[in-house]
Amino acid sequence: MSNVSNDLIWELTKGNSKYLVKFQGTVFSKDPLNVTHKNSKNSSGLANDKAVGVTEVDGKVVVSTKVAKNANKPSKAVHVQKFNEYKAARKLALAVSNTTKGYRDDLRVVAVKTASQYSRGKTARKSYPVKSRK
Amino acid sequence: MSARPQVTVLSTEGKATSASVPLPAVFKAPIRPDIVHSVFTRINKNKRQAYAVAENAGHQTSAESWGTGRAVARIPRVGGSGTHRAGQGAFGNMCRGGRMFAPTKTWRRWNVKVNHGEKRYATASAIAASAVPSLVLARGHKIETVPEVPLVVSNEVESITKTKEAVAVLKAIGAHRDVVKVIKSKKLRAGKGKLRGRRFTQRRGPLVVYGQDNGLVKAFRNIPGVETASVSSLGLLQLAPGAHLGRFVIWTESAFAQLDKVYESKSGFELPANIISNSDVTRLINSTEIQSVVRAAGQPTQKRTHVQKKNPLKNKQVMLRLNPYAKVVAKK
Repeated sequence: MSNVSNDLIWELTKGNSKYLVKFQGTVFSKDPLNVTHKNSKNSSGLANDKAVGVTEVDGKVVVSTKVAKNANKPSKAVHVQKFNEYKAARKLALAVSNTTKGYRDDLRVVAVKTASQYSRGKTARKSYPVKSRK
Repeated sequence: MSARPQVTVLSTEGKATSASVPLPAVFKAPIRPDIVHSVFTRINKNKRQAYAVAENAGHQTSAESWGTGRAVARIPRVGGSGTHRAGQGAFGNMCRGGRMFAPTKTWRRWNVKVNHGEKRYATASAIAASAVPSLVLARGHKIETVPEVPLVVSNEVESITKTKEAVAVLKAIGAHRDVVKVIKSKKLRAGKGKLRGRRFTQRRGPLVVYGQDNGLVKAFRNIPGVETASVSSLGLLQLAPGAHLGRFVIWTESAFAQLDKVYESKSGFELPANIISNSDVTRLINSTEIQSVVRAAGQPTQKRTHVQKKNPLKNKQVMLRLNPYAKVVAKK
């Protein structure tokens, strides 16, 4: 609608919104479509037609992106892509990188980083028995 | 988008019907949180009931000051003997059993007049904001499963008489998640409000706006957080609770269709217009009109910080950069 632009939405939501977290002088955003979790206009999921979110659900890395043409249809507005929990870390990083490529190149690095951190968190370190001298 | 986009009407089963209604003109009203906030704070005062301490509280004694010379403060003191009260200070706000400082009076100014035009502006603004998914999400409503915003449901909802059916409709149109949020949010209120009939706090759910009540109000009234309102009496307190724009509104088809008429019938009120037709700043900056006027961008410069300061008196190259004539002087 002509009376609403992303700039206006940002002005309305930057100071107060459901997702805003203010903690000990730092400000974060809990927005599921905000990969950086910073409360900034570029990364905001509310004030951008295209936004990216990376989360982990049941061990699966989930990348959600906004579908710009369905802006006023909330049930179709978010495209969700789930990645197999057994996907190798590098392949996952590449896949995440490909989904955000040409979509939001500025958020791509952060999306890949977040996804890799999830996959790294899943890999169990090999444990070796402690050798004792006899 | 075209001038007047169409909004699809959902059936009570949550399916999109072939019917659609044009978006009423109110939804084009400018979104003004400043006006909404100031109007809300004033309107919100109009429900208050008068309260005050008893008129004679703290003054039900014949205390008089003992004056100077008795080596005690000159506060009025209760006369007599035989009780502990005798000789104790009275009246003052610092005294036990004295009156409070500036006792509250029932004739405080409880209500605030709000200009009619201002109220209507704020209401129109709040209605417009309820059609922006981002703002509804930012207010905390769970609309992720809702098929469309603004959400318009067919007139069959108005003749629902059973709460069970009402819940079924909410589930079908994806609005029940917001109700679940309300149910989960119910908490014991902090503070004295618990004793004063405000025991629990909870979030707000969807607002159902109807054109005609054929049982809808009673069907929906026992669902936690769900409120109902008639299109002809929409108020800011419900459209922007807490002065936060973006209430999740469920319109019935007839209510949505009547919305234009409601605003036309308001005498002496024209819907507020936007000052700028395009508020997209990036679009404006990149427009040919502006780009043709601004100077071309210069070479990108990088600010060099943390650079060691070179002494031009010792370093010939630095000297030459500052003063090219130094070369001539040196040759002489």
